[in-house]
Amino acid sequence: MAVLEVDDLTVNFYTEEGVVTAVEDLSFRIDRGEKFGVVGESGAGKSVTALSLLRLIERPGRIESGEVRFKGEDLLSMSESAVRDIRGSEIAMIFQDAQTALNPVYTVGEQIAEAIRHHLDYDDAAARERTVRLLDDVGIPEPEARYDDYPHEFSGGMQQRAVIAMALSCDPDLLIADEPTTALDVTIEAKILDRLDRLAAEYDTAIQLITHDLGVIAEVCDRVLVMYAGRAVERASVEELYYDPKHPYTVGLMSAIPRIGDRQDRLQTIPGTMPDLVEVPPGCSFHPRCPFAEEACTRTRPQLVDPATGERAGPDERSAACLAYTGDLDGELDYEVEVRGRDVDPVGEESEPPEPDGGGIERGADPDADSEGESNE
Amino acid sequence: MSDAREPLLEVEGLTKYYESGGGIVDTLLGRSREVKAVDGVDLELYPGETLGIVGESGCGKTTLAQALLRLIEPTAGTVRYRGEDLTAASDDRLRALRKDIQYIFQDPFSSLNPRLTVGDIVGEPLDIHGIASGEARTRRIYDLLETVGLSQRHAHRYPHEFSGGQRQRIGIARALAVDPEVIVCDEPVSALDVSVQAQILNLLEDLQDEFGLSYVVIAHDLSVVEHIADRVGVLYLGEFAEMGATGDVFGPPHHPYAEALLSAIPEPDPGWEGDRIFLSGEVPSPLDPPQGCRFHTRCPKVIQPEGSSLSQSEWRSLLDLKQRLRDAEALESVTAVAESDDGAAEPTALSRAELGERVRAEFDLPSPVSDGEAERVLSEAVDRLHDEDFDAARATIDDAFESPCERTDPPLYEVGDGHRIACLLYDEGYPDAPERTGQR
Repeated sequence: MAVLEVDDLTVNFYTEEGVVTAVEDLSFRIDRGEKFGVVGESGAGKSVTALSLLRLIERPGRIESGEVRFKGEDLLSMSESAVRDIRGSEIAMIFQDAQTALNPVYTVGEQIAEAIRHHLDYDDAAARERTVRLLDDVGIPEPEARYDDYPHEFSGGMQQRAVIAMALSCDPDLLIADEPTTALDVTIEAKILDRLDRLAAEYDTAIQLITHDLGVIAEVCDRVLVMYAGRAVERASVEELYYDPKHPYTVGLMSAIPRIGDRQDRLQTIPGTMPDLVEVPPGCSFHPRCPFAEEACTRTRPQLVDPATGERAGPDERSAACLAYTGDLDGELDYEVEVRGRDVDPVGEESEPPEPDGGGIERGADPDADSEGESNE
Repeated sequence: MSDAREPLLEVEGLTKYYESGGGIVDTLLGRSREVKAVDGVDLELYPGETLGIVGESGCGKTTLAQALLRLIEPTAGTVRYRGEDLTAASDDRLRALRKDIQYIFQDPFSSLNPRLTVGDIVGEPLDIHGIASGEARTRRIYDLLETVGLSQRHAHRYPHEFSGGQRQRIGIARALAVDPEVIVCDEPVSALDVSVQAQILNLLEDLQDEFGLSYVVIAHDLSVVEHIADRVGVLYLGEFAEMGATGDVFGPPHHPYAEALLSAIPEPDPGWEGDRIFLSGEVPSPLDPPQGCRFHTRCPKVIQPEGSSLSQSEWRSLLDLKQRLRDAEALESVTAVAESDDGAAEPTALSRAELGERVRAEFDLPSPVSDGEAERVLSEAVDRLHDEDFDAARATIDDAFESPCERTDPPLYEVGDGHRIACLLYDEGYPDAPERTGQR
């Protein structure tokens, strides 16, 4: 059953330079207990999407159209006080910068206990006890003692753990995590992702994980949405996306990551940068950077379609927004995808450097690539 | 790359301590303390190579990079460039030397003067060092912009009109203006998007080939360093834990810290099934770095005393208990949080047996632990805790559980051609030590 259904969401910002469409016609759904990733670079519209789900978009931004249904109810047409009751209790959010999410003048424990008292009607002692247990759950040592610490007495990793504890405090059905580990060291990141993964299972919470880091997505998520310049360009299960990406942008993104054990001298790049959202290129907004772009791409805006049939895809089907799948291109998308686990010794053969028009992802073959679900319990 | 050539840059015992905290009263009372940001670091940079420096935040990477150029004054140590000591150079001489050694900053948003046009930003070093003026200066600026993938018309714009990647290119053009030999790059791509990051890394490599540059690249992202560096130094709390050719250091990793760092990188492959190594605790404060090996407080492979037959995870847990006890004032600090709401007794009200269980639960210790003598010490410590005699509990544990890693600060052991590892596992004196990885 879907916890969250987003249909044709469009968000505009009315700036001095003109109307910026930060999110356009976005649809997706998240099932109960599912871990859903949203990936893209800065300016892709990931954070705006997250904020509009909770109706936290402020002027000059405006949710133009669309529906956001949480457990069947449209959040966008609810009263402000009804939304406020949902925020923090049924839908919780974790931001990248833990320091700003915590109030510096209250102790960490008190802030969490306050949410518990407010949303769950606990008395002081019970709220304190639940808070201590939550702090312990997220891996804060000596939680009784740390309860009375102020946020500045916590390290960055500990602050982010406290924020996670706060987010989980009311047993939410959906947790929106916006770049939750981006500011942290890898050793801390690994621990926090592991913890988040286990707690989500334990509390039966769905996660919408927003990040630019494809490694983080691969580790945590079940399904993924790739965004570019405010639009969804590809939607797939995590295995499909990594082993068989269908959109040239996804392919480019994956081949641009330097990987441990990779012997190639040069990284693949996507030429240019994300367009300024004031002037999004006509047609497919990726066409100025796409190695396969043709005349048609500058005119026709591609829809999300099933790459196998070219038919318009439903909101939770595998899909990609590229004209190649609707028969509008003369050429074909010509790239190879190989993903190699780090432990497999790099095979001696250096495949010839694929020029931009080859666009391949250079990695060795992983024979077990198709087996599913190992990364999640 | 470590051949017989003369190093361009030779650093010995470079040290930077910061005065910490204390106000005037603390200073008068002699209570001010020192943050040991960089503590006696040696390194060499050879012509044409890229030396990568990795480590977690707070381990001293940026301080080291800035001390190399005397952007901050080092507390001790020498930095020799082509044999000449930078740390002893006069201000004039230093300015001249900085023509050869340039710096690229992490944040392309704050490292460019917003009031200057891009042309003036790139031209500024030309003016300062009197390299070119008039028509020649303009031509040089245009050349530089084209070298880094921008165009002439960008020269008249201001930094805010550019994206992060383009600004980083401007920063690189500015560094190239004086035709340097060495560029120190402090997190050159960490503020950039993935696709742009790849462009900048390729650009740095192209420029190296074209101009024969040598780089020191500081980064927290191991995959970036592994990609770009010929040699790597792994920094932990102001000291090098390991230094060597990139392939030697990472494939497979040797030092337990390098191994943990590498295992923690999220792999962009959903089918990947590597074991993550979770380090216990966090990076200790550089105000008071641990005695002995600085990594021993978190090291999964910390060596057991002779004759001990504990499993490695039990030993790690016992040391965690010992560290926790050091500052413990209440039983809550060393006991697990009660499982359920009801009857959650305060630790002080627990029976001896219950207290023992809660202590073991907190540190994942089995009952009994696999070494008889260790079990005896542990339960004696729990007895003392039950009496709430923390000093006695501390004394009991401190005497019995002591790793050689706490006593001995490991030197950098030479294990191969220019490959040095600061870890007692590479000392022959500990035959019972846990197996090292990356056996050669």
